Amino acid sequence: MPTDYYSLLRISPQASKLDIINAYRHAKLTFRKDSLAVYSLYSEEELAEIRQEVDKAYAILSDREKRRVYDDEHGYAPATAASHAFDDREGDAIADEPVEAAPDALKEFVDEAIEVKSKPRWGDNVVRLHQRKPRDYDPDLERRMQDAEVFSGSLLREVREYRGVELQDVAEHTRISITYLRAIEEEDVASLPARAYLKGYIGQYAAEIDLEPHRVVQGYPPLSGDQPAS
Amino acid sequence: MNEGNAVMQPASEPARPRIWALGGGKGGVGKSFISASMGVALAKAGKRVVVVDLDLGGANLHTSLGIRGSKFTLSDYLGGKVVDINQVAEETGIERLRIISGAGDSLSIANIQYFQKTKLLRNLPKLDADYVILDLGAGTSFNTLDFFIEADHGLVSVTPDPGSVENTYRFLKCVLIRRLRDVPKQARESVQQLMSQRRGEGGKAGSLADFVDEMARRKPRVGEVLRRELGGMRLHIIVNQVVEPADTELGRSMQMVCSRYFGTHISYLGFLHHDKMVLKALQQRRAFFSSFPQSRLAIHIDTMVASLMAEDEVDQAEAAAES
Repeated sequence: MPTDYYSLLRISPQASKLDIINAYRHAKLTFRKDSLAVYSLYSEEELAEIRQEVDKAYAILSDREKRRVYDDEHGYAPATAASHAFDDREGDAIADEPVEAAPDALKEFVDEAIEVKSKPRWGDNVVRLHQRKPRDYDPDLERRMQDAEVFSGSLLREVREYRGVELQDVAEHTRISITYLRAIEEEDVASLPARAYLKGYIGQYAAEIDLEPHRVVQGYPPLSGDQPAS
Repeated sequence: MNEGNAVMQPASEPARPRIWALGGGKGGVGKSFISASMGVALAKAGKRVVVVDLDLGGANLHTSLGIRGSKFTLSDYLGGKVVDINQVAEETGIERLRIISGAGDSLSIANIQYFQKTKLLRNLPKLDADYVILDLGAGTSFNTLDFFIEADHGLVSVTPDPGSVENTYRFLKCVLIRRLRDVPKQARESVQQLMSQRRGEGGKAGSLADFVDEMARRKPRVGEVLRRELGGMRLHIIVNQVVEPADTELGRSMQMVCSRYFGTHISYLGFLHHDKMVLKALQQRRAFFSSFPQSRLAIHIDTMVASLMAEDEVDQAEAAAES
């Protein structure tokens, strides 16, 4: 029996686009391979299946047209009333919730990343983590992330940009110097810290962009035997 | 015997206290600490509270409240030495808060007799209080589970380590399966039939949600009964001893996992930081909550208590509207 996408992500069928993005990110974190919250319940294969379901759910629900079809098929009242209204009736919706009232950072985030112009309870819905601007769902990259055995610096950068995380944010969060972070993405062996530190750095960096630290540490080329010439 | 309060209570007042139970698979995750602190928080909010130490055999709720010994213990009541349950509830030195201590009890929860358990279950609601908090011991013995199931709110404390998470899920699973025993006879037979059939097929045990789904496919009515039974439980997770900011995410994640794995809603009530002052308060034999009422722990406890109280009020209002 296919899982209902809304209940899988634990959101209401009236959820806004922001709610969906939040729920999707949270679900991906929750069902990670090394996630504490699933300890003893699921095998790795089961987790991989769940993550795929989560991806599928997001791919459908984040696409307005596909979501409408899905809602129709599953007998949900059109979510348009609550969550797409902002796209269609901009004037009305904005009237009682002035965008200007939002703090600058949020405004920028909301305006650029998401079409939602107005929504009560700002704080509840906005992704605070770095005020991220995740890019649209990219099935190809998602698959490569999942299958990857080698996590090259360029793949890490690609994932980071996909997640909408600035290098500066990673630096602030992890207290790793931005020079090192750059060197990690460029696999600039000469500038990288000693191996023992590097492992820790890579792990933290991976966690910041929602990759599984263990896999990335194992798959980062300068940490495995064959080091590329600098 | 003190009969003053019982007589004073107006007839219209909902006489039964609300019962909250703290359980969880593992020891050392803060059940007694949370029980005691919630008791103090409720008492400060003007409620009359009795905290009951049901961690028989390992009782130390009194220690969390900074009390050494006590005149009576739960055994005195269970053994029939004291007839009225209200009499074993002793003052704690904190206004409106009383305790039924388990200190020095030779009994162990696993081997109290069936009639003692039912006696207690029947009489806990007769305690003269607004709230009764049950501090259950670790483990999943039937006696522990039954007290947990009977409570209005079941609270589970989990610390951010794999052992605790694993035990929490095991505990919840036991609770929910035990709860399914309470369904009407016919439904129960169908459940047992399907269970043994699935076992016979030798497949994986699968999640409870899968089981209920399959039941619903075979016998929609029975599936409906199961869903209602499981949905009727008020279960909450508290993440305790948080060190890293990321640990606070555990509660929300576990909520998501529970909804998928158990097919039932388990709410995430809140988290508590790891705080060295808890140990200090214990060493000084003082109740943490009264020693540090402004601490961030105390504030978080207050918030959780407030949200549970709000839920109870909604319940009571609904119950009143129905009758």
